Amino acid sequence: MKNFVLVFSFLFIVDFSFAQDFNVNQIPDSLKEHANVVERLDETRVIIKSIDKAIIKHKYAYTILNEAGAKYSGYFNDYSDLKDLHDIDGDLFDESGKHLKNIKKKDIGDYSGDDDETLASDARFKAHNFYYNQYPYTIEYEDEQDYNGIFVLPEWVTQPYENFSVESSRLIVETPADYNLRYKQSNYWGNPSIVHDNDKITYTWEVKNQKAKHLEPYGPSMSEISTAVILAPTNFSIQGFTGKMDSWQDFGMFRQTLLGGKDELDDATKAKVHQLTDTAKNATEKVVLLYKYLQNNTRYVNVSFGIGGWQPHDAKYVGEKKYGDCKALSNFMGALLKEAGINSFYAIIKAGKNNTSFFTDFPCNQFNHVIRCVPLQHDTMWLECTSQTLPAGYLGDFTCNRPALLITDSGGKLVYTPSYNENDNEYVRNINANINDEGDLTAKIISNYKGLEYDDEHEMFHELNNSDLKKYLNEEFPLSSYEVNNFGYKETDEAMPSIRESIDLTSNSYAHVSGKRLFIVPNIIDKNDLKLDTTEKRNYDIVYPYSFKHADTINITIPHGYSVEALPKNKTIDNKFGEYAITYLVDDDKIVFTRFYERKLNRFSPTDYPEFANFYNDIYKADRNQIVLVKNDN
Amino acid sequence: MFFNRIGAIACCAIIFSVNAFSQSKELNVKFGDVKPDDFKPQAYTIDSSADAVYLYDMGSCKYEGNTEGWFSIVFNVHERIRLMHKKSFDDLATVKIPFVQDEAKVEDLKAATYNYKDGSVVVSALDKKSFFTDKDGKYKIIKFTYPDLQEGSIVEYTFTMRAPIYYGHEFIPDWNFQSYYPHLWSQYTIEVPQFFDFVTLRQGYLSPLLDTSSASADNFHIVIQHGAEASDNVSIRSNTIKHTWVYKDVPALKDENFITDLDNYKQSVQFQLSAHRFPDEAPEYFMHSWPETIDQLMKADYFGADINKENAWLKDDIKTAANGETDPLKKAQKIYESVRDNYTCTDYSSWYLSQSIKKTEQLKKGNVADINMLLVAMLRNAGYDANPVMLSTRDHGKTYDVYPLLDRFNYVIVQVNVNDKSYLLDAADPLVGFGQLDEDCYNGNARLVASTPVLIDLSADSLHESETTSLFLANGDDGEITGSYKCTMGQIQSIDLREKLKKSSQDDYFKDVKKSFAFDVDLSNEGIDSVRQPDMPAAIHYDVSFKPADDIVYFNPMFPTDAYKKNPFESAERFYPVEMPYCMDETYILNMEIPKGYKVDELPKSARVSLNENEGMFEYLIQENNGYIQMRCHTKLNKANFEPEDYETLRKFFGFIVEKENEQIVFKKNS
Repeated sequence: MKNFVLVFSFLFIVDFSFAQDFNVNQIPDSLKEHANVVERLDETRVIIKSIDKAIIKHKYAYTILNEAGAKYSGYFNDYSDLKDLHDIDGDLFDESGKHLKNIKKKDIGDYSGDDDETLASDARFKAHNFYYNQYPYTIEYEDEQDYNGIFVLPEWVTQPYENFSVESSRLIVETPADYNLRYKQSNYWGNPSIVHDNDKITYTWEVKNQKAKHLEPYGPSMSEISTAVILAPTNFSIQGFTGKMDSWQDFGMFRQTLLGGKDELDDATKAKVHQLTDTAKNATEKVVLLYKYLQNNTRYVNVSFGIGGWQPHDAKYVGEKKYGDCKALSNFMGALLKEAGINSFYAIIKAGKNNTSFFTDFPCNQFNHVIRCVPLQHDTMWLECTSQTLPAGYLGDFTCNRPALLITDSGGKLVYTPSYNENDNEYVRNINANINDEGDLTAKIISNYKGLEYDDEHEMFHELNNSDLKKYLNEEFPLSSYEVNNFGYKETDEAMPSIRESIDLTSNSYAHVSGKRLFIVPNIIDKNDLKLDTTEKRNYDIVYPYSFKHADTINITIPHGYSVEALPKNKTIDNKFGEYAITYLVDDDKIVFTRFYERKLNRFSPTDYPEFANFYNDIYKADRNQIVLVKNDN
Repeated sequence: MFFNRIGAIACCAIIFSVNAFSQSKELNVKFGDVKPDDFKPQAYTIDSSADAVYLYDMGSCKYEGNTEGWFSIVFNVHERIRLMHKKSFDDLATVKIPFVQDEAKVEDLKAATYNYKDGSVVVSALDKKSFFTDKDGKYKIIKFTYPDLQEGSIVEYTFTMRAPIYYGHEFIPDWNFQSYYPHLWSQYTIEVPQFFDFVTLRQGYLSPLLDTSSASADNFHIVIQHGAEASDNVSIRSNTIKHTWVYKDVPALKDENFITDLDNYKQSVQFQLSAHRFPDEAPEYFMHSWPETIDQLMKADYFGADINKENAWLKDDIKTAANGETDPLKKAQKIYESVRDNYTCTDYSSWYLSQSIKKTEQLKKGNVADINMLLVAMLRNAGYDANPVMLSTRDHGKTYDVYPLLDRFNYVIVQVNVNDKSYLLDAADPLVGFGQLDEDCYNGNARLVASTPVLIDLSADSLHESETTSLFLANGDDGEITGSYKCTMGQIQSIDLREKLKKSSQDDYFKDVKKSFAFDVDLSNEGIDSVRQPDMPAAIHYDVSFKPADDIVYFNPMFPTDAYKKNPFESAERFYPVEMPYCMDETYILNMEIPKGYKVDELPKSARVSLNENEGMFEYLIQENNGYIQMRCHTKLNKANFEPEDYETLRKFFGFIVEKENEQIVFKKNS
């Protein structure tokens, strides 16, 4: 009898959790507000068997409310040598929750995961879509992954996208009783429920009824505002390598073991190092010479299988093939430096423009890139080994201003990459222009970009071929119709680099000529595009990701015999959102215009929004002001 | 007499080389034969700023007998490129050779990098481990990247692909003599047994250096398997025809705006099997006339077989769709809408069915052919004269009117005749109305698949898109100016707007409208008509109010959403024809009360210009009348396609439009 009851309750549980009612009318109105997708349920079950084995069972159901949500209606998951993917199942339900279709195995696509920069890897993915179009509807998918080795555990992010609400989402982690699970919560209030069973521990995190969020201009990213839990092991093992990661030191120690013996150079390369550096004056010069050598002789190509995602190809491989990924190139750079007697570190980092959020208090694999750090007597030089064009010592917005973990013989050491301030990141622009009777403009524009302001121009100059560059310049400026007649670039090769761009252009009818008037917008190029609604409700902080300074001086010669009818007022705004000043002067046949704009890395509360919006709306207007000239009667 | 006879024989022999342009000969460059001199040029005269130059690229295609009872194709490729600048590495340093798994074999793959060092050539050849094979869907891809690259390196690869071909499916691979980098010498040779007849299709603007044919003979050994044990060996001796094309100093292709598909202009050669001509046998034709092809298509399972059946099982669907409607036109519309609104198109590029139409009906999804053929079946079943129409969309290149080359097509629509009027329908596109097509379909001629397979003109020149905007402004209280704005869009603009509103809300749309004004305005009663009624043009309307404050007010009579801010023809030079999506016709009408307390100090001048006499016109008429300003601005193009020589004129024409549409009225406060 006892047995019978147990079986019965088991069946009851199964029934409860797997036959959910997907009728759309079950969704609370508050979850439909601003939503394109409602997550009806999500259950990620991480079953850790041992330090190198885990099974991940994932099941989720989305109600797709409209066409804008359709891009999330498909299934997608990846696999590799380190994780299998199997037992994929999927179902489609209509608005009333009626079951329409089940997934067919042959409809699951199997694709290569190699991106454009990857020559070969074990990355693959499977994908499926029902392509249904009667909104709203619900899709439900589940799958299972087997981890062959653990270095990274899944992340639970309840709202990965905007306009995405959550009815119910759960993360369950089962571990052996003696397994030391580590976790980091973000925007999760409270603690997980932890149940100790005889031989296992079960952790459960759960959220219900999270309203859809939407991103705001100058706002934080979804990853910052979503509820999330990151998991990490303490002791782990992967492809025969074991390690610990409850401190940065131990985490680094593991990465150090992957580097062991990889920095041997072939004799020819050794000889080359000495030929290049033996007569150099000092260590800095040696670093610069060897970095130049690396840049001129290697390029980025990714070939990685299994542990190769974290372990570099050795220095001889790069020496022979003259290519490698970030790991291999940074390791090779280290070997070159070592041969020249210079100590340096393999530095792992989370790269990406403005991708600076990082949990320094939670050692785990938050990294996606490797650079090289060279401590010198007076300064530390950072080298981006995958770039063939950046000057030695400059990082750019891909890796600056964030933590990096140096891999040393005694383990990992967390340090920060340089951050650049408003005096580093600046551009200064001088325009000498002429406007004739017809309103035609000819202008010589000289712009000097420095620091992070240099990044985009630098990239364009190096990536685009001449005709694409010309095409780009002919579409770049906010002029109605113009032609770039000449252009050129000149770079300085310093740790704080700059690039000087000179452009000659003509723009017919730039100034509008009517019977007796000439309308001129003296601000030819630098027009801020941001216009904001001051009455909009602001939910999140205002974020300035970096500091910069812009200065423009424009001299325009105008046709003889005009006088000013309307001259915009000079304007200066100086508040916590930035400094902006614009001046106009008409002196005889000359217009002199100046513009200054400076902003500093900062963060403001949502209540500051109206003032912030006004700041930008004032700039928007001032940037577009026109001078009206009238022809003198005689 | 004697000379005459010789002449006659010679004439026979060289019948295939009448096109020979010069004494030039084809080149046969050996793999690995790279000399120090090859590194000498610091730049190439053909294009001194080129980031890479194809020094030599050669393809050849031959037939050989196989052990599967027929022929195999032997396709050989050899490319040698000089990489002048790092910028070309991303494009050219990694090579991918995709092919259909299990059928083709890649053999003799060799690749190497050559560098010039201290007076000699240093070779870095790729070893076997450096060639990777990846699988992606039905394709296998061989991938490799060149080692030891520097600016100025020469890279080279060659391979042979062997693939069995099946009776009646003989083919010859295409060859492109042109790419995004210049080619110094591009050569293609085909050698095919004489009994396979191919039509050669060439495109591009360049003249070949060499274009020759010659005849010879060859032995072909074919093994025919009969089960596991027995086989027959057949040896055939046949004349073969060898044809070689060489293009020298081919400039790089350049991408430009307003081009449907740059591939249309690429110098290339393609082939299509037309017949088998075996000795002592009647020829067997594989490329037929259009009527014959259509006839076959109508019988084929992958195209017309289903729609020629009775399909009684569709009755219920038709009944539900028609919902009691008896008017023939309205009923056809209802049937059309039922397919358009209930089926999902999962592939917008296919001229043939992926499944039976019954399956399409069950799954409620399919490719564009599946869905529109189902519509044909339903319309026919309901008693209409309905036929499929095949076409190639704008991004898919042009079709040939003369040859029925089906691979040139990628789209199927429907023609239905109701009350002696023809309508073209596309039920795969959820955003178009009855009798409408999206701009993608307007790519020259389409082909009616019916007993009389006529051409249907779908050139962009035949698509007229008209948009009308009216704005009324009057004086309100407290010196405010209030008014109402309405813009009724053309068909294509309406489709684009609907597409946009799929992803963003109307609220966001009007927020953007508000932001587009240079001065502060208030909008109210905003709305968009017919967002969900594809048969009707979409119309944007709102009420607007603003308040002039200064003593002198400069006011553009054209609202910012209507005035051209930028000349669409940005580039100063043009190589290829301009292919706009439609002929535009835009009218803007303003009636404005002069702001209270102000007078007009200056009005923009009225103007009228025409484009090449009758190809288009722009009219800007403005006047002050009894305290009101009336303005009418009309832009009209009578064609959508323009030759490169018209570019300069077209660019100036739009330059003038931009200039006029940004002129301002000057109001002065009464003193």
